[in-house]
Amino acid sequence: MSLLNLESLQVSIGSVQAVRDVSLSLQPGECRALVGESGCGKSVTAMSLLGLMPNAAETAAQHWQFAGRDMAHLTERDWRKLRGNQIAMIFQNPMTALDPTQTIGAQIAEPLRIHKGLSRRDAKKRAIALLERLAIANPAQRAEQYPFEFSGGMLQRAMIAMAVVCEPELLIADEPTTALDVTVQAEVLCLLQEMRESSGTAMLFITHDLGVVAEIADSVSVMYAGQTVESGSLTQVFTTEAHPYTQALKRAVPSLENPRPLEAIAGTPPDLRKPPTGCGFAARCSQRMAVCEQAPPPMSVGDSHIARCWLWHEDHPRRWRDKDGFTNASVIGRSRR
Amino acid sequence: MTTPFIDVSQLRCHFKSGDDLLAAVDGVNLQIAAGEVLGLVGESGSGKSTLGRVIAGLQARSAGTLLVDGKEMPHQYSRRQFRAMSTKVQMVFQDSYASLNPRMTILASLQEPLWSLGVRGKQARDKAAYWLDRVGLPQSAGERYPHELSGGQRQRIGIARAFIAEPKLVICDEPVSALDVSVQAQIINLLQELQREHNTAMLFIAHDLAVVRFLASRTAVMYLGEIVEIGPTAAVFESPRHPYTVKLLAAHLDGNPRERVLRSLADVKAVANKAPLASDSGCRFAPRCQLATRACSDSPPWLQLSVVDTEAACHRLAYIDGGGSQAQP
Repeated sequence: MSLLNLESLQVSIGSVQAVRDVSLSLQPGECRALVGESGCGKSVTAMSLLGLMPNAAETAAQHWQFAGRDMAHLTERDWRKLRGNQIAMIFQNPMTALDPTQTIGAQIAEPLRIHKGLSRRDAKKRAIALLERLAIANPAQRAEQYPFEFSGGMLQRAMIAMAVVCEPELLIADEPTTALDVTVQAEVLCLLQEMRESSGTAMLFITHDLGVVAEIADSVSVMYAGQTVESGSLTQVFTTEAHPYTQALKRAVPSLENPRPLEAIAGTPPDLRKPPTGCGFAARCSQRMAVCEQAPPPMSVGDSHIARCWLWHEDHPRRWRDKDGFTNASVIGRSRR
Repeated sequence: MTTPFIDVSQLRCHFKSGDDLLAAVDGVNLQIAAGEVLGLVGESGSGKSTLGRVIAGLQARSAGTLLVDGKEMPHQYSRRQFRAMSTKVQMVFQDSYASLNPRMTILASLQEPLWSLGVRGKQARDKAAYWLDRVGLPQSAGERYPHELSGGQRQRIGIARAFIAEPKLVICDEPVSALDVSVQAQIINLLQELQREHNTAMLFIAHDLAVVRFLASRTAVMYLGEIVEIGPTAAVFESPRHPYTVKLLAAHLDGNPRERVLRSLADVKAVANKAPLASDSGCRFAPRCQLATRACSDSPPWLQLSVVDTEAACHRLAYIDGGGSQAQP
């Protein structure tokens, strides 16, 4: 049974329809990457999963289950029991997410005292043990220090410690390595991977860095203009990208191994105060068709691989070959090169 | 041989930090030829931005010489010298918002470099209008203020402002790292077009290795204030000599799902970064280096020519050139 099942989430904040239609599912222990550019609604999705939306936000979902529980009508009291305990989050900027007036050790120990009822001393011991596992030298001494005394990479490790200390079932990481140097990023990613393997935590990893995705994720969801436009396993989304946005995104990133001309995506994302009625990407899409004036529903590309694009409609000529027994994605991938 | 446009030798830039002397840039030799794109990579704190700022004249140096167009520049510029210099060397900054005056319209900001050249009135306005168009913005954007534009649009203005006075060298300090992936590609392509069109030399500072590989013809790698490796981009990326370059390239994630780079924590463990001090002896990378020997912590290495025509500052270069394994134990 899946740990998280979210179907058709919609969030509007004032006049902005920040999230228009997002579906996500996570198995226990799975790492799903949520990829998209700023303003596409990925952080709003994460905040909704934690019940951290402002009062002005209106949230609705067709179906929203976490660990067998219906999440749509939780009270604030229920959320408080869940947050930091079963669902935890790693924020992008640890310097603003940590409390500057409390020691690192106290902040890591806090969830244990609140959720697990541990004493101050026991919680502190667990916090120090965790810091040690996260490769922080002199953990006992470090635990007594304040956030400003830590370097960027160490702060991010402290954030990770805080998030995993109660062994949550779901860990949401919002761009945890974007602000870090490549070598420190490598270290943080390794730590997350080890934590995940040892405790079986599922992870939703939000990022716009495709290199990081390829390194850490089992499955990928791509977001554009408030919608999930493609989702599937890592290999499906990376080797047989189905949505034109995913394809364009991959061509826009320079590669170290094979330097090639960069193809920028012309234009800008739509204004989500007045979202387009048709496909959100149509205005920038090189494969636009007349039918794109209408909003495409999610369509199946292959086994659990879904794209929100008319190219994958069963009446599209490209799919006629399927009926003759061709494997669809590889054929289309080739014809586009 | 023609004189390089920029010729830096034994450049040092030291800052007081408590009782110590922090060596942000420590003995750098560097030439940039006219029309050449030189990439500069390194981790934060390696001194790459400071080096760029010294060359632009925004930061006084502590020692060493800086020749611009064959002329020696003073350690600290007077107002007049700075103005004269700014017609030759321009800069594009990472934070496009902080680098534009919030109280000036875009069109006024664009004209400012021309005013300092003595170009005024209609001539300046026409040129600014041309550049608005050249960087892909509508004329209506000229009447706007910086906060009304998106990050990508503001960076286009930053670029237009750097190129408008037709400088010989443009220093780009992480110009795309604050931008979204699809916008990054637009800006990188724009920079490349302009560089080729005007045959401007470019010093491209970035921590994103793939972007540097894409743009630069020569690449320098900095570590704690020193250039540890420099050479033709293809050689530096394909057969890195310095163990630090190897480590940096190994940590780069190229988005290939078939091949996971990071295997275990032991492989990637980054030793806590130490600030470079003027009093350091030996190779600054030695504490993190798998190949370090006694000699490495005793005396500082110098740049030597390698078999692949790059230069690397490493005592073990002969061993590495001889095919010695850089594999980590």
